[in-house]
Amino acid sequence: MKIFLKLNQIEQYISLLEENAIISKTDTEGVIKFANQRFCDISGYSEAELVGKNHRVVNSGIHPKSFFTQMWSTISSGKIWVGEICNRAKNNNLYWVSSTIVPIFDEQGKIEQYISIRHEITEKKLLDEQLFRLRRLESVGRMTSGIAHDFNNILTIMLGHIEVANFLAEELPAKEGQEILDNLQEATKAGWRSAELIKKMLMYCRQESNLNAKLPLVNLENAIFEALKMIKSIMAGVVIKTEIEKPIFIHTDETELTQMLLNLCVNACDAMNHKGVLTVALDFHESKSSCYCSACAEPFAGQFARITIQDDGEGIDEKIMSRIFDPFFTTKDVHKGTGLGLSVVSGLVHKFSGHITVESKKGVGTRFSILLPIMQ
Amino acid sequence: MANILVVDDEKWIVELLETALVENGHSVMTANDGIEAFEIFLRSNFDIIVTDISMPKENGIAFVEKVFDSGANVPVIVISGGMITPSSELTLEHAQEIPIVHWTLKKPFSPFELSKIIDTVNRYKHGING
Repeated sequence: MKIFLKLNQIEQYISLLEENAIISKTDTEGVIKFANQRFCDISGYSEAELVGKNHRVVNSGIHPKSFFTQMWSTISSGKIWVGEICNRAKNNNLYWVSSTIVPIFDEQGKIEQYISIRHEITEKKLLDEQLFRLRRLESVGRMTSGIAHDFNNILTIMLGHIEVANFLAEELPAKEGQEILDNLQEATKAGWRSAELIKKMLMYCRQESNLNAKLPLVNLENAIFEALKMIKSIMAGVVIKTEIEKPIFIHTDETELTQMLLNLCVNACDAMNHKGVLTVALDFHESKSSCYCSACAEPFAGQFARITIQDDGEGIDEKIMSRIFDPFFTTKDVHKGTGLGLSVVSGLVHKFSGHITVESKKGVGTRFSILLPIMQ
Repeated sequence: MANILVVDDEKWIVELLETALVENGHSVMTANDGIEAFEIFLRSNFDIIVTDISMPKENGIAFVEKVFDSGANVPVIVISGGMITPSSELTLEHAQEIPIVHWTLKKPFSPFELSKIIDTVNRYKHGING
């Protein structure tokens, strides 16, 4: 009776494990010999599709080669390996698992197979990543703001003295005076160019909030058409499509809204190598459950005016996705971009208490959505 | 012409503004932090105060609030190079909420621009004081 109960318990444990854990068995080469239902559910592959394939079938490509070398070196030496792995499902979605891989020995003490027991931790990893990004953005913001502050002081001194020198040069005889004035004019231009760059850096830090508390009511449809009119000339090979569900009015700064749209459209155009379809859409969006902002990583919900800018370009590499809103991060060639475009968009969107999301698929395209809250 | 107190922790900015304003016929006294500025303010009569926000010992906003609390009706022009921390309240917007702050100016600006603002504020002050 006692033995029967124990066996019964063991069966219960196995059954619980079967239901909740992702279990697979491979040979010493990593070829799958068994995959439980949970493995099939999470990976999207059927048992028939998994068995006989190498476990690499779910390799996400996220981990470096050294990661797997270390894992194989551990298990092939007869030790248990414990770690977290990012896998790729059949539908291309990524999922994270906490994994324990146990080598199983035959009677001669030789490894004959590996049993892997995994638990999905995707949500936990996403939360960890969001926390990490929040902290990183905070420190990048603090650093950027500090640099901008110091540079503004330096530029005030520099431009002030240039102005004083200008007055002095005006009193000199015409010929030499003019030569000095010309040089000072170039120095002034460079100084103000730097000031513009710093202004953009500060926009990223969400510091340049509008001094006028009451922002005008802006027809977003008009703002979109105005922005598209401005960039039409540089988008000669691009087909522009607009999808406006209905007119939406919100209190915002039209100039800054245009700046956001221009930055996103220019990026989209570059991503398509100046040929393809750019779709700009406007609709009302209600987010009932919490969505996460791709830039600040904070959750948000509520009613929004959503402006979507979608291209059918090359898409954004997953590996750089978490860095695209960082100031000075760019994939463009030297001198072709400042790396401030998206960080400025992020700064402006947040200035209006909005958020931004990005979805991208390699080879398919990218969609940026600006979500601006609709006040009741 | 006006009696002006210029406050900034960046000595080169103080020197530059002092030179430019004296050149325009104003009388200028300077300080490098809020505490020093308030001490000088209590000892003299100023027509206009020009102050930076982010400064050691005591920031510009705390200094202007003390001036306001003292009951003095001295117009203040607040200048700033942007905040040091994104969460900070040391902003031009915050400064604007203090009634005696008449103007805010973002760095970089030119001494000529400041002179024009000082003339406007000075005219306004003399206008309201008859």
